[in-house]
This record gives sequence, C-alpha cells and structure tokens, in this order.
Amino acid sequence: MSFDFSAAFVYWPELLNGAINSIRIVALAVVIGFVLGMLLAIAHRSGNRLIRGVVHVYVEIFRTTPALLQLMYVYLVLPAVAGINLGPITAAWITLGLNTAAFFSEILKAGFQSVERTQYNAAFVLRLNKVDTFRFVVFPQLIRNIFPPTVALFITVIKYSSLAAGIGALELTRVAQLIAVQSFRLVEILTVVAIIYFVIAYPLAILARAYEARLRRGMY
Amino acid sequence: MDGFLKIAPDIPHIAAGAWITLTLTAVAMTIGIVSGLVLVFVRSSRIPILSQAAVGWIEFFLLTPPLIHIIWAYYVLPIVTGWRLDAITVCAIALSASVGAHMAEVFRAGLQSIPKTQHRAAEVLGLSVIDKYRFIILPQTLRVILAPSTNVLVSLLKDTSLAAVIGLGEILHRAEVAASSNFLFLEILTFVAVLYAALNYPLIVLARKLEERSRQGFVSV
Amino acid sequence: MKEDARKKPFVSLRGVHKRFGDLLVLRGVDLQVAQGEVVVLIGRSGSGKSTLLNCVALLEQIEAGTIEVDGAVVGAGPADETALAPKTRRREVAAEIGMVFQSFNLFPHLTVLQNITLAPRRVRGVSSRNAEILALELLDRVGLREKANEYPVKLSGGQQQRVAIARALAMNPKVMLFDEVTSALDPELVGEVLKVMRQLAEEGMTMLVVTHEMRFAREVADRVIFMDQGVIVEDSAPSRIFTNPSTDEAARFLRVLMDAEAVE
Repeated sequence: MSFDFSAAFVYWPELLNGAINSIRIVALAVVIGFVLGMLLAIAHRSGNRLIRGVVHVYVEIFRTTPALLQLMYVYLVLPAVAGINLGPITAAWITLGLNTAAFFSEILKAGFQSVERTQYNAAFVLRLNKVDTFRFVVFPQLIRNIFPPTVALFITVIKYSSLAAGIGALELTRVAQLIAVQSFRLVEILTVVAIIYFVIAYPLAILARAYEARLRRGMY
Repeated sequence: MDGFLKIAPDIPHIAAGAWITLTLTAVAMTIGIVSGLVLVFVRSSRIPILSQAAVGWIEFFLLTPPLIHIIWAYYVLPIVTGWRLDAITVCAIALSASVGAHMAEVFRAGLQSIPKTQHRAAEVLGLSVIDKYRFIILPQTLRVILAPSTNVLVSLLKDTSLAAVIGLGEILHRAEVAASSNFLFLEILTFVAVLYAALNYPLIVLARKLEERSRQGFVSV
Repeated sequence: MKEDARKKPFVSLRGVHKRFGDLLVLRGVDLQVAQGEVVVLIGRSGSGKSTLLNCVALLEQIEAGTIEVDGAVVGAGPADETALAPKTRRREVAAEIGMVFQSFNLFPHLTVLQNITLAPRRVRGVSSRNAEILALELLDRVGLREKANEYPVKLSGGQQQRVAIARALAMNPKVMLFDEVTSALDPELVGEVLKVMRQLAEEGMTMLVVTHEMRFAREVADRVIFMDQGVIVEDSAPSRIFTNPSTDEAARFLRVLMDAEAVE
C-alpha cells in the first residue's frame, strides 16, 4: 500500500475554494448566531409570556433536531412552500446561523444566571443606577463567564459547517469527497482535509485553554 | 394539510429507521464511555509518549467534524485494513471514536472538579489509591458528570443523522428516499423533526434535571 | 438646638410589616434610632433582623408602616404611599444609607481601589483623581492601603470585609447597616473587622448592626434589641439586657449564647 500525498497538492485550488466556502459559511453563521442569540436572550427576559414562549419553542426546536435535518428543511422545504430558492451555501449559513443563535441564547441565559443576586444587591445599596449596574458590574462578569462556552460553540460551528456537504454545497468536505473519489487518493485527501479542519479549530481551543489557565491562577 | 395524510404510507418505514438510529446511538455511547475511560486513564499516565498520544487523539476528535470521521471511516478503513465493512459498522466505529473523545473530556473535567481536599482526607484516613477512588472520588465524580454526559448522548443521537450521507438507512436517510419520490419535503421533514424531538426531549429534560440536582449538591447514587 | 437634634430620631420605623409570599416576617416593628447611636439587633434566624436591615436599606418594599431616614419618608406600605418624600429627596437620603453584607459582595472583576471608587464616580460625579484619593484614605482607615491594586480573590475574608466597609464609607453615609458581617469569617479574622466597626462607632457613626458577637454588643452598643418572630421583644441598654433581661424569650436566647461564649 503506498500513499501519495501529492494528490493533495495537485488539487489545491479546489481544496482552497472549498475551504473558502467553509470559512464563508462559518463567518456568516457566527455573526448571525451571535446577534440573533443576543436578541433571543433579551427577549427571553421580557415580562411578556408569549414572547418568552416563542423563544423557548425556537430554542427547543433547534436543540432537539439534527442540524442536517434543519439544513435540508431550509434547502428543500422553503422553495416548495415559499418559493424561496436558496443556493446550498446560503441555505447553510442561514440555517447554521439560526441554529447557533439558539445555542448562544442558552449560553447567555446561563451567563446571566451565574452573576449572583448579591452583586445586584451590593450595586443597589451603593445607589448605582440600572444602566451603570449593568455596564460596570453585570456585563464584565457576564463576558468572562460566557467566554469558554462561546469558544466551544464557535468550534462547533466550524465542525458543523461540513454538513453543508449533505446538501451539495461545495465546501471543504464535499470537495474532499469529490476529489477523493475521482482521484482514487481517498486516504490522502480525506486525511489532509481532516488536518485542515483541525488546524483551523486548534487556535480557538488553545485560546479557551489559556483563558481557563488564567482563571485558575487567580487573575480574573 | 392534506399533504400530511399523503405521507401516511411512508411513516411506518421512516419511523422504523428509529431502530437503527437508536441502535447506533446505544452502541456508540457504550463503546464511547468505555474508550473515554481508557483515554482518561492513558492521559494521566506518567509516560509522556502515552499521555501525549492520548491528548492528541482526544484533541483530534474533538476539533474535527463528525461527518469527516464518518466519511473517512467509510472510504479509508476498508482500504487500510482490507476489511469489508458495511455502513452501520463504519458509522459505529466513527461515532464511537468521537464520543470516546468527548467523554474523555467530560471525565477529565469531572475528576478535576473534585477538590484536592477530598483526596487528602482519604489519604489521611489511610485508604489505598484504589479504595480512595472507589469510595470517595468516583462516586462524587459520577454526580458531576451525569448532566454533561446526557448532553453528549443527545448530540450523538442527532449526529446519527450524518450517516444518511453515506446511505445508512436510519431515519433521515429513509426520509430522504421517501421524499425524493413524492417530493412532499415539508410533510416528511416535519414528521422527521417531530420524531427526533420526541426522541431527544426526554433526554434534554433529564439533563436539565440532573444539572439542577448537581447544583444542589445531592444525588442518591 | 444640639439637644433637639440629638433627640430627634435619625432612623424611624413605625408599624413596619413585611411579607414574603405567605410568610409575614415583620409584624409591626417600631424603632427609633438617634444620630450617633449604635444599635445591635440580636435574635434567632427567622426573627426578621436581616429583613429589617434590608427594608431600611430599601432593598425590600414594605407592606405596611413607614420608614423615615433623615426626616424623609423613604419607605411606606401601599396605604401610606402619599406620605413618601419626593423621588429626588428619597434618592438623596438613600445615598446616606450604607450597608455591608455577610458575603462581602465585592465586585470580583475590579481591583480593591476600583471597587471603592466606582460608586462615588458614577453616582456622585466625583472625578477619578479625587475618588482615588478618597479611596486611599479609606483604605488607610481600615488598614489595607497596600492592597489597593489587588483583586478581591487574593484577599482573606477579613480583608475583603474591611474593603467592603471602605466601599460603603466612600459614599459618605450618615447611617451604616451591618448584616452579620463577621458570620462568614474564620474566627481569627473576625477581630480585625470588629476593630474597624468599633472605630466607626467611636467616631460617631449611626450604626444598625445585626450580629452574634455578644462581646461586641456589650462593649460597643448603646442599645441592644432582641427580636423574635417579627417583632421587637426587648430594647435595653447592654448593661441591662445581658445581666437581667426583662422578657423570657430574651433570657432563654441569651442563656444559650452566653454558655457558648463561656466555653470559648
């Protein structure tokens, strides 16, 4: 059995193109996910029961169903039902964005709850107003609390961008599949692609780990 | 609305795919838990090569897409090992490896969360290492890892749908096949969504309950 | 004139009732505290002492009665809402009330100095520079100047609590509320906090203190108040209440505590 990794170099334009599409999907999904997730988290704190219920249902739908199913739904059902025809890549980042928003809103919800009630009491007796309390007391702690799970979510988005392959988007995984079959260099191509994904996600993992180490050393 | 009635004949076949989904989930989770334990053990080894290898393996499966694992296993394993593997075996192997890495992290975080004082208290009482873990450390760790483990299980159940990409006849694949002939995507995919939600919801509720109980600090084990 | 000022109560609670769900925690509390008085509140858990402090600090709304501080009605039940002072006056007076908590409640993401300067800067508009000068002075008073740039996580419980006191003092309060501020501390750290509180008392601060530290109560308090089941049962000078309490409930409570302290 001989391995010929030169195949990866021969096909580098296609792989690069696939990687760029993957990055596009991730970037757009992350932006939508974080912004929408914040809105959902705010809506969840609303006094209105209907709004809270809608947010709850939204989050549950995206949490209990597979992302691939969600992707297929957006890609295949929207055209049939609403006449909206999205290309596979667009469908991918929209779906992933909606999905990420659901998970991010849960992270924010937990983050809010982790800022202790007693912090609010202390700010209150110091007579800080609501805006200042949020800005100087709650928000800084919230950001520090949500950092690790948010990085983990980011990594998840990178991993699940590969699902777009399932609806035919020419992102990295799909390109890899096609080239691998065409060139018969299955082992080499797929291994190289796995390494590419790893290399993209690794810096984030390091970041999260460095942050955890800082916390443990007592720096806040 | 009538579309939902039209898919009625497809429903039994699609729903039957749940057997494969659940079997795959159960197998991968079981093997995953075992390999997770092994990995955590090897990771804590004093031999650098072993612990680094364990770390590398865990990192790799944690940071790369499950779909790649499945595709890689499907195309590459037969070549490299010369075995003839069917789709479900390939998926079981790929998902087990992934779950193993995730569980290794869950176990590691769980063990780390037990305060050093518990270890010291056990040592001061003269307990052997095995007894210390058996009676003091592991029971407490069990309480801590229940919630994250349930999350891993839910993710696994959802990831079994990736097997559709290589043609395994689990729920999503069967739905795809049915929909490709009658084009009733809305109805069929909605049904599938409900099916997954039904399978997952009890697990998620369980996970939340466990999270709350672990915060209260009491679980009868 | 001075006599009158001293006679007029600085803090005045009349008929205060407070309910939590079905539970009536304060059942008609009447209390007057003059300026410069140090009043210690003792009683079992559930007797309502902490709730009383929280109501004076305006952390809780009361169901009936009035709470008056520095001549302004700052808290009132729904029936007496019209008696409330105008909002601006209430806000002024609220800033005259300082509080220190059992769990310190320092802001973990800010340094000691930042913890102390935050409120003066944001609420009173004090400049950063002046706020810092003020903060360092206060840290001197509580004996922690060298910790100014440390984060709370690096400080011991006693040190954190002293910072909490300095933080409250930075707002220039006229009355200070202390809610079991030494209960969460290791015994050897209690002394340093009580020392600061004693200093404050000697400087003439009006203080309302909930505590289990009987020695402190005996030596520093002007009055000791025993609460039971949401009402004030006894209100005497420490010299009297510890030697010859006039009520059975107080006697029973104190006997247990005295025995415990005798063992120490």
